[in-house]
Amino acid sequence: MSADRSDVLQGTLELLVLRTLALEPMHGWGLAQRIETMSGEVFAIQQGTLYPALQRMKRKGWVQSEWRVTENNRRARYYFLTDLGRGQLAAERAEWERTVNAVNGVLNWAGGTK
Amino acid sequence: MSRVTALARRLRGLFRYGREDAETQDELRFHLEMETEKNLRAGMPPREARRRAHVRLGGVGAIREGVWDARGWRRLEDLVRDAGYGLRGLRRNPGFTIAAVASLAIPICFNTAVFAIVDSVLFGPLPVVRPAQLVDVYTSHPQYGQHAPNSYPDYLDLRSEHDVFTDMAAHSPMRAVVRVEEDVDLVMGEAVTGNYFQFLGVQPVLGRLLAPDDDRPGAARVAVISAGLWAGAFGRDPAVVGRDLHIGSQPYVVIGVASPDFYGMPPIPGGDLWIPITRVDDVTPAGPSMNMPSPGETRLERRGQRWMFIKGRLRGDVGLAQADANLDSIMTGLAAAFPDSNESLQVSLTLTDDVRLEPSAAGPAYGGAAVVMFMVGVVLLVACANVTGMLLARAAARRREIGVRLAIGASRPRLVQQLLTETLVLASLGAAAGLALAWGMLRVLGAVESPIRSLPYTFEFVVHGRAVLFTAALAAGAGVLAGLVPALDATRPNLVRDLNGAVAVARAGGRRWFVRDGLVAAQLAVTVPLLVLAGLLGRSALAATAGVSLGFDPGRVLAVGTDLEMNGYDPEREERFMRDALERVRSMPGVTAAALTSRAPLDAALAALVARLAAQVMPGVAPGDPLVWAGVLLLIVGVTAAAHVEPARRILRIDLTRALRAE
Repeated sequence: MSADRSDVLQGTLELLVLRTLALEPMHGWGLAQRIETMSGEVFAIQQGTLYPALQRMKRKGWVQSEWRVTENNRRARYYFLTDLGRGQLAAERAEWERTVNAVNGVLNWAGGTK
Repeated sequence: MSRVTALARRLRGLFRYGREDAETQDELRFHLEMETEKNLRAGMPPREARRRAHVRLGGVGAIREGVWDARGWRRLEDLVRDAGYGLRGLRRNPGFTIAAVASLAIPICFNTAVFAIVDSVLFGPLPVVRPAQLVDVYTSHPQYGQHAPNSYPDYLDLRSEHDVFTDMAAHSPMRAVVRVEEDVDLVMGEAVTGNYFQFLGVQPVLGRLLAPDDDRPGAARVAVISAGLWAGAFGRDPAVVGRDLHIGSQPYVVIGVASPDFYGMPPIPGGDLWIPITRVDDVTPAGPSMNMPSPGETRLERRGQRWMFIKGRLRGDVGLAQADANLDSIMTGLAAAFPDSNESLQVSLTLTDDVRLEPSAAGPAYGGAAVVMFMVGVVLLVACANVTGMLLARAAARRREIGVRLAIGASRPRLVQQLLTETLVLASLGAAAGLALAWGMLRVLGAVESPIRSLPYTFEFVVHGRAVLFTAALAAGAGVLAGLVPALDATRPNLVRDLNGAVAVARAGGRRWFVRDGLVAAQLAVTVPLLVLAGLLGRSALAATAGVSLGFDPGRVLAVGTDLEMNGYDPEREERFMRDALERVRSMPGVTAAALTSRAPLDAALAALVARLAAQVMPGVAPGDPLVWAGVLLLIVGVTAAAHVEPARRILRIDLTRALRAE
């Protein structure tokens, strides 16, 4: 694993999964690939943590799953967002942006020392 | 350990673990295939491609565990596993188990039985159709209060003029001297309007119930009997319909048997007979009454003679306030038309569900129930304290096991959960045994023939669903009560004390005996009065049936009972008759002594006794008050806390170092 890749930030895995599933229903492996691609190859998903996370989100009612056939004619379990999951995505996204803005505000501080 | 794993595996089967896990495996296999293909496309040799895919994903076994845990059933699984572990532990210590289960089963049995009776009389659903629609219509009078009875003419007027009920019915508690063949006895029951049973929605088990035609003038004398009277006086004769029954001196025909859970409108066991209200002069009304001047030959005609209760069934679109207003306007009209008998009278409406018992009887009944529930509750508490003691002794023996588990990293909450689960298993066994005992006890109670009555009589109480729920709650409470303190204490490592070693232990030992003595003394203090009371009650009951010494010689004593009022005597004539009878009996040859009494020894109704007790224990408190029930609860909690705090302080701490060394 290359040194310029970092683990997904603690606590953001669910947000990333929700965001990715908002595009289209997807299986676990596809999710991992998608997140890595979309993050500009910065994030390396700990693939092993993905499945328990999906199970947790299923229990909370954010995602549902069903077995479908892939383009290559294989059976795979696809996950898709529920309405509850969409709401959760909006909420977590707003929270994330608030945090980022706050952190940026501190980092970019160009005012006085008051 | 392997047994535990095996059990866990079986449990997972229970939870469909197999199928879910197979799906997870399929999913992970798919993942690995995709990753391998991706690696192959990147130009890796097949072996390396597969290896990298596995490394990337991580251990499949661990992921499966992780997915399973994420389902949130881990705790439940632990619980069931602990229960299994607890059961095996109990099986290994049969002596302890039998003692603990028995000491819980017996008080739980009493609590369940008492609850079943109290609940069905005071709190259970009324044995009628849609009880929530029923309303009690009382007369309200500045002097006689809110819950005075009604007169028959007022009932007829209210019934023909009201605009708020689907129907109205009236009933009056009564006593009647009943003769079946050669057996004569005093029977309680009700004189009711013909529509009473239809109105309530009660069904017969045999024949028919009273119908509107039965209270028309000139209708035949007919009677409905309870299932208890049918079983007792008629031996469950399937051909009882049409048989004769004498009430006073009048011949009646039995037309049907009411459903076994129906005792009449205060739903108290003991109501056994129903006759049309138009025949009320054959019997003695036994409820409250109120008299004002009014013309008329009989109590059915006198508007000022109030002796019966009225009920209405609310129409769907009508509320209590609207019904009250409607009936009040009718009553105001009656007061204007009949000032002698109706002046300053109003109606007062209460939902029947809120009344349950006739208001003057409700106080003593709820108070008596509170006292009895309290007594059996205390018995259960004593048992809990006993079991706590046993668990403490056992915990000392398990110090090493617990110490080792703490030392190798078991969390304290997890261990407390395990120990508590064991106690709950114990309590559940106790509850199951107690439930069975209660069921048997109620059956025996129901079958006991009262020695006072000449007509045999049975009543039925069953352990119903609510009583089972109550018992389950009781078991859970008892389990936590008895087990929490030992569990908390057994798992509390106290290194400082342990490192101090022998001195601390010796001191704790000296203290321990002092506290244990206190605990025993407290238990005795509670148990002895209960035993005495139980002994007294038991002796009265036994004395009546089995000829235990009564403190007087019942041999060659004859008792003769009569009710002159019921035969139309006024008080003056009654007294003359009694004095005359006494003189003549005394002068009979062979009679050495004779006496009059209003109540025979050992004939005191238990309810009256309990009510008196209630009044003495809680002077000046209305026993139906929720405050009293809350107080009883508080007292129970208080006693329990006291019984637990002290033993908790004396528990030996776990010596981690020693426990480990011994392993």
